[in-house]
Amino acid sequence: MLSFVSALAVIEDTSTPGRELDPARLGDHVDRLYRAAVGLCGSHADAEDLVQETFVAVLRRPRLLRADDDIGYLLRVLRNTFYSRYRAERRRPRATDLGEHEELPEPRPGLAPEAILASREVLAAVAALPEPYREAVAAVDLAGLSYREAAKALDTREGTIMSRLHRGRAQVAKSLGYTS
Amino acid sequence: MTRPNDAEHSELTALADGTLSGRRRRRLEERVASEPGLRAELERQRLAVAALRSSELAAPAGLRARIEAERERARRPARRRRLALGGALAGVAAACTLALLLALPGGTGAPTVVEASELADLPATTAAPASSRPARLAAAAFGLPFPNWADKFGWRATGLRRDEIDGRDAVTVFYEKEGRRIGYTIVSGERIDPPDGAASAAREGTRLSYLHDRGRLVVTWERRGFTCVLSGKGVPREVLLSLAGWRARGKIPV
Repeated sequence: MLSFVSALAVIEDTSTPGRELDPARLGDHVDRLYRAAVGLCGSHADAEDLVQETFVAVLRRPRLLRADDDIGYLLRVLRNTFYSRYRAERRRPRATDLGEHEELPEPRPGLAPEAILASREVLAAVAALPEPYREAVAAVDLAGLSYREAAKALDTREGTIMSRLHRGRAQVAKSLGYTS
Repeated sequence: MTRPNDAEHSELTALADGTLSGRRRRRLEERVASEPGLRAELERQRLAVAALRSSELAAPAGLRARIEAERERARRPARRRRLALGGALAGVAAACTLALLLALPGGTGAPTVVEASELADLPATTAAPASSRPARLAAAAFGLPFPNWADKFGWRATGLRRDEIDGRDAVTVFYEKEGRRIGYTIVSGERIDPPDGAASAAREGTRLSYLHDRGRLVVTWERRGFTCVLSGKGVPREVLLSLAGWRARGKIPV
């Protein structure tokens, strides 16, 4: 007999046998999701709200995943939440949100000031990218997804991800002054 | 030298981050070795990858605490349902099951900030208060006037309701703008502490705490010892914080 809790489970994919998303393991992915969210939103404060809303949505009911892909699933929810909330408000990430007037998260202990500054510059460069490139870079380079996971999370083909990555990375390199 | 096409650019980016392998990798490396322009582009891609992947940004401790609080909140309803089922299946008396449910965290005591914020989802029971003077409405709770946000922010007061929650009086004024609705509740009695893990902010010298609860943003702060709670769905954080902190150059007393 199915338990009352299992009866409420949301099945996210039907291609292979499923397993329940383990809420206890979600904390493993917070840093990666947060970096991706900063890249998408262009603001630390908005990224915090976005990540929190993502977890609220995921934790609302038990989830059954068909593929072994917690982080990919979380990124899909993050992205959908971003578009339904922030895009509806016609907010485009502003690179100036990063570091100028908002409260900044504490850096990792022991991190050199140059590393903190470099991190801000990189994330500002990502926030300034056009939307398709920003998503691809946030998914692969900030959240650490493979091309395949990113393609699935962003509902596109691997080849498209690679093409957008190439252009996004080229623009990031230019923003950071990498010329050779 | 032929200019790389889209597919070749894609392979170049895969070479830069180490995901290109086998024969395609060797062919591209040979081409890169003989074409300075392609070599320069590969180098730029590699530098970008290194910069992006070396970001040391970690989620703030406050965010982790709020996520942990969400996980705890999500676990509680499941525990209550299991206990209720277990009581029914084992034939335990209803009174005994009820006692177990009441013993779970969150069931007793003074209202919480989240419970007060839920009043914002209820309908108004009286008409909207008029504005008595610039910046203030003709409505107050426990000597504290409600702000008039219409001129400055575009949020128009649309109704009011009075409730009692856990022995405390609560007055809520509803405001609307562009199809969205928020509720501003003032609760009598001693100050109610914000929940663990709530984030902090300051606006116009007022210390605010805020959190998300089931799709709503909830902001809470203190005015003359009374607890104020402002909440709504689909409203940006900065909007609610700005409204909560607005003093209208001293016309809104704190």
